[in-house]
Amino acid sequence: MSLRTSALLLVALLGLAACAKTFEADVSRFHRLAAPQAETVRIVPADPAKVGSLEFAQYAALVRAQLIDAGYRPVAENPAILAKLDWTVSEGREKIRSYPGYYPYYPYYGFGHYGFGYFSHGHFPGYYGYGGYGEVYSTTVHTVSLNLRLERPTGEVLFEGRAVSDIGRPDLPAVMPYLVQALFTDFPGESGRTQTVELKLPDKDDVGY
Amino acid sequence: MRWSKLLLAGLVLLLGACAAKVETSVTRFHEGLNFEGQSFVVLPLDAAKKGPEFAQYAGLIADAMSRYGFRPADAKDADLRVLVDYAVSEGRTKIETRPGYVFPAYSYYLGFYHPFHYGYYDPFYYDDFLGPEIRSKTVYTRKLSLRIENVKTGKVVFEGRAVSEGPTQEISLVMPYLVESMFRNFPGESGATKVVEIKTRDGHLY
Repeated sequence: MSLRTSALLLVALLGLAACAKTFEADVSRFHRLAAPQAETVRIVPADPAKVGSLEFAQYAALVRAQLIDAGYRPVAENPAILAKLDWTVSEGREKIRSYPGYYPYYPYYGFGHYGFGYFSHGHFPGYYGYGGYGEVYSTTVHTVSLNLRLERPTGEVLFEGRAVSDIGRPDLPAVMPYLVQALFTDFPGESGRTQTVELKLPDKDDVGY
Repeated sequence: MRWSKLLLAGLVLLLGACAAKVETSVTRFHEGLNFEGQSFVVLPLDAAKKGPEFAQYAGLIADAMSRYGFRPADAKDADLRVLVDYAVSEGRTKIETRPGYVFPAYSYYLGFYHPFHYGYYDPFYYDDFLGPEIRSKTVYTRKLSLRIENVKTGKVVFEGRAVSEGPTQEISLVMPYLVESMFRNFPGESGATKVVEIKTRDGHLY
């Protein structure tokens, strides 16, 4: 019976995890933009090393679609506005996590005593455990940042924005659509403010952790 | 009883040996060009990396490209320029818990009459009881990046990176796996990241 109970509990936990798939990004924007007036725009890499890059072209296409939605007109020559795009990914860093143990035979010892309790006394939380009894472990986190500047050819800056997110796997092609969408959520947004934008992920997508 | 434990330990060691593999994330971008018959030269992206070490890795890349029908050539008459770079990150520390070992009879004694309770995770300990351990290990990120340009037009025709994480800081030991992953099903799906797993030849974990 208890094996079945554990199995059920596991399924329930998995179910909860499945519901919780969202993508979160901190979006900061600074601008002096009135409503866009169908101005022409050209997307260029801010980093000269990315000139001609195919990866850049892929992400620029995402930004291009958003700029069109915002009322701009992409052109190849003589744009009224240059959209300077760049991104960075940090080296990985480790976060410590644990999940508490549970003990099906002595539920009154369960979480409190042998789970966190033991830990706080300097013992191992998984002391009595194998797998489902609790573990301390670390997961890798990378910070990705997407940066966009809209400038006049004269150098006047109209818009600066960044979308920053912590993700588990640095799979840029998978993350970039969400980062771009976050940056353009309610574009151009309130100037000088950082907002947390939360986007729902389709079930199949495994962005974040 | 002791025999069965030794047997179990041996089994685990065997399994462990089989499981040593290098896992590499490969991200590639291209425009579906046909490279067949084109000649190429392999060059370091960073001129400071020129030398015998680079030559060794360039050799691996040239071999892999030759298998896809490219022809190695001198710098002056190559159609394609293959610009290569590589790097190893600073190490970072990962935490993990190793489950404890409780011999079945003692499991019962301890009040843990549970089918999963006896473990076989530490073949080197023949103690009858061993609690779980929290340990740290250092991992390094090893990265190979590659950009193929058309010499005449200067246009980028392929971009790829192969990134793997593991306990070895020495990139020369990992490079064969990075190169093999980069060229697995070359040029692959554009704009996507694929995970390539390769069993290590000598069973060591890199």
